[in-house]
Amino acid sequence: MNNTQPESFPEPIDAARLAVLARRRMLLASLGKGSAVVAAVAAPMQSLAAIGTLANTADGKRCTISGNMSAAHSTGNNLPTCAGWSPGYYKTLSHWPKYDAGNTPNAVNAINGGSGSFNEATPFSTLFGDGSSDSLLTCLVDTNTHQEEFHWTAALLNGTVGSPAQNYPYTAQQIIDLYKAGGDTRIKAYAFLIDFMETHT
Amino acid sequence: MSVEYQVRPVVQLHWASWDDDYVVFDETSGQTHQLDAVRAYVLDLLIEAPRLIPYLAGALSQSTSVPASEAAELIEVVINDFQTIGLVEAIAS
Amino acid sequence: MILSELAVASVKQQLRSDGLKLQIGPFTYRLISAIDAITEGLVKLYSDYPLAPANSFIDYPITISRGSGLHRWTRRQAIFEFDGKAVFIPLPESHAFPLLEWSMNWCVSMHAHHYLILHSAVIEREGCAVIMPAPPGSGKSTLCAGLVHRGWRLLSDELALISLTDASITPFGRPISLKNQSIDIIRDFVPGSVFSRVVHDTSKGSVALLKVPSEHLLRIHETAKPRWIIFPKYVAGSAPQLTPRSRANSMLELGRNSFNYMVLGRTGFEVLTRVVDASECFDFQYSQLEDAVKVFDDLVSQRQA
Repeated sequence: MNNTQPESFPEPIDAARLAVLARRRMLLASLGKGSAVVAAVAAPMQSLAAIGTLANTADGKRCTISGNMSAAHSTGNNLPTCAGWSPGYYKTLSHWPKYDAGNTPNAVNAINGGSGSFNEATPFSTLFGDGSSDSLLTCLVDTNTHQEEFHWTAALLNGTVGSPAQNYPYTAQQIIDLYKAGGDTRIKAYAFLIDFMETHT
Repeated sequence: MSVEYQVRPVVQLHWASWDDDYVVFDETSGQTHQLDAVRAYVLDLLIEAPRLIPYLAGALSQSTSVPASEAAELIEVVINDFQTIGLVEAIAS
Repeated sequence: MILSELAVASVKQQLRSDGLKLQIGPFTYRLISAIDAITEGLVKLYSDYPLAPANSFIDYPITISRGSGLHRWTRRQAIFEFDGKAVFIPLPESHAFPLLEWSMNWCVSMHAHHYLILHSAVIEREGCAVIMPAPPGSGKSTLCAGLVHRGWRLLSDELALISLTDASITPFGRPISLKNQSIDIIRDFVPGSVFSRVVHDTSKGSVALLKVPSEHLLRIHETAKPRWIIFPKYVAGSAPQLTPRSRANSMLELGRNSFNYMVLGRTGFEVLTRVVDASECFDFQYSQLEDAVKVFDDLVSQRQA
């Protein structure tokens, strides 16, 4: 086989070969010139791979059904157990990590993965850079006026050492960083946290 | 010894195309890939027969007016992508 | 016979005994639950759906049961059981009716592999269907709810059922799930709209379900052909923008938004190719429902045969 020059086509031409020829003609017509060719190759390839997005709890039950419906998937697979708790759970201050009824404030926690600390009275905006100036606990209790802070605060607590969350994928500092990133990153992180990481109520 | 590249024998490809955009489905793996015209063209050449890099670069250069040396670099990128996703393998020729 | 022809006491009695059998599009459900919120929700939102005959084959037997032990009395729970087996962790009993809705969707998305199932809203006008795939938070359900009250027929707000033989879309219209601010937006947009009780503190925030217009259910067995694939995105304050997008990329995105594209293998690829072949593909950015209505109306009026 001559590999240095394009081949001439064999004879006779059957239907399969005709289809190949038709495709080749279409491809040649599609090819651009010069910089368009370089640009096409520079763009990364996109592929659709199997998506397994469900995690199982320790007793084999799936995590939230509502989260399941928000994530189309085609195959289940075996993933480690991962579970966070919903904002509603953390409305009760005694559910916070490091809760101590004898102290004021009651729940002082180090920012896991970062530096500094927070407690139930820390203003949301102090920790997250913007958003409500109400305290973290207020953001959990008063849902109607703290729609987003409600979920971000739960994520912060889930990512804190001592929370009941299992294999939570982000530290408290990472949660803060995701919020502060803003834009599309924040939007996507928020959607992910709500749909997959508020497993237990 | 020189190295040729070929579509892996287990791969079974099905094509869809609209304008200059192509989608291939590999029935064996169940993977679906979106290809630009250049990648689709290279894959089509590899489906026909195993090829050396210089052959592919020559064909691309001839069809697109891209200089041969630049075409060779582009072919390296494309072949690497195809190997990564398991469509193409290197064989000794 | 439709559900509204049954007395509420009779609905309750059936739910607490051998089950209420409802025909919803191509599927027959048998629903069992002793939780009052389930009775209330069904009576309010499913009044126009036909009851399945007594000897019907049941596609999906669903029980929403109460928690056991202490959870029958404190921190009461609702548990989804499919064919007698609990599949998911329990939810608070106050979430029982949304749980039923999610359960009904889960049954189809997990089992109905005689369709290619896309996670998307689907609406139709003049025989032309718009498929609207979208991740959570894109405003898909709000947009869907608005459009079906402005001349578009609801095929589904959640699951597009694509025939494997001819790529037509089978309606599966059920109450539209809305959350948080969308509930009030649609209440204002559709005066007199019927909603379920709002349930708070779900994993999605506050959730309520919007009743499907009864005239849409009269046509629930009427399929439609795909004509447009539109990826909506709500962006506060933005002007409406309909932008053509690559069909190849749209195909991959539809595959990502499919529950069983991978399961179906080559058939899934071929069917999805037919859907994309038949459709123009767009991104759609919007902030006002009235803007969206106009853009979608123009699509229909300006379409070429």
